[in-house]
Amino acid sequence: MSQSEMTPLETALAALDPRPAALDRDRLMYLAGQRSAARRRWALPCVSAALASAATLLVVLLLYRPETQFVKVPAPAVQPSQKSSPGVDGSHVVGGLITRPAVPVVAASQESSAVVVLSEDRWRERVEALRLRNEVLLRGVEALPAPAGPGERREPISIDSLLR
Amino acid sequence: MVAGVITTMGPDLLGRLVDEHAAALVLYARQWCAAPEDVVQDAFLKLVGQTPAPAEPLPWLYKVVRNAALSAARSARRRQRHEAEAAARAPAWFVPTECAGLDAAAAAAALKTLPAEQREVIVARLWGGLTFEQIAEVTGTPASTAHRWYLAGLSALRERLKVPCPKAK
Repeated sequence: MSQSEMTPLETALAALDPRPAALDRDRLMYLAGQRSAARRRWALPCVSAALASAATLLVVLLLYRPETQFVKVPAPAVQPSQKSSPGVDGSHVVGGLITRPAVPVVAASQESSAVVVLSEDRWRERVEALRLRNEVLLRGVEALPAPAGPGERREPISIDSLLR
Repeated sequence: MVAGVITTMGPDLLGRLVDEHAAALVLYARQWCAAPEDVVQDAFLKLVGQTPAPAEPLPWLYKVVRNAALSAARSARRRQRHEAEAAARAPAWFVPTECAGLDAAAAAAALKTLPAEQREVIVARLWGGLTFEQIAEVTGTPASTAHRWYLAGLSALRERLKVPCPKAK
């Protein structure tokens, strides 16, 4: 409504000034700034919490990583009446006696139920290889056995030595 | 009037609103409650917390002040004795002035005798500078009803303040 459209009473009333507000303007602006800052304060803690959770999860996964376990189980006994023939593990039955009693080794993994039957020789080779690998991982190449030196080299194979 | 699409309430705009409208908002809240400054300050702080900021901050402020003042009045009604004491200590509504053509105290006394809805519309219109559409939005009534209350209130004030009707001249 423009001033010209107002009646004298409206003009006279509008001319009265409301009593000034007893507001502490500085305090109000301070509180407003504080509230404005508080509104954005949740973002950083949320990001920090998410990153901390991810880091914790990775540490737990690293510490509790499942490893392959080797378990020895006895092999079923071979019947004496069976014909002597090389078995799966390389053992033979001669005259009712097992000349090379096989002690199969079963390697089982936690993740899979697959079972691998190994002969004792293969088992020892594997264990030795694993031990050597762990030594090398722990202490470096110094853990490797020293190669045969030039002084320890055997003399070359000759026809005489073979005939002997 | 402050209006337009505002994403956040900056300190400049807030300071301008406080400087230009705090007194009228306090007068508006004073109709209902004994501590209008607290109500107005809370309304300004609520405005800062709005995301996005209201497109028209002034009617929004009047609406928030109205709700808070009515709520404060309801709470004060439970403490009748304290309310009577506060009413006795209530400061004047207007700055005493000689050149306005009206006695400030008489005008305030006449305003206080008006029905609440008429007084509210007159204060929002004359000192708040709101349009009838904005007043309708604040009070939750049709604009035509707000206009009718305004005219009825002015008529009653004219009678009480012994101001001659302009048509009678």
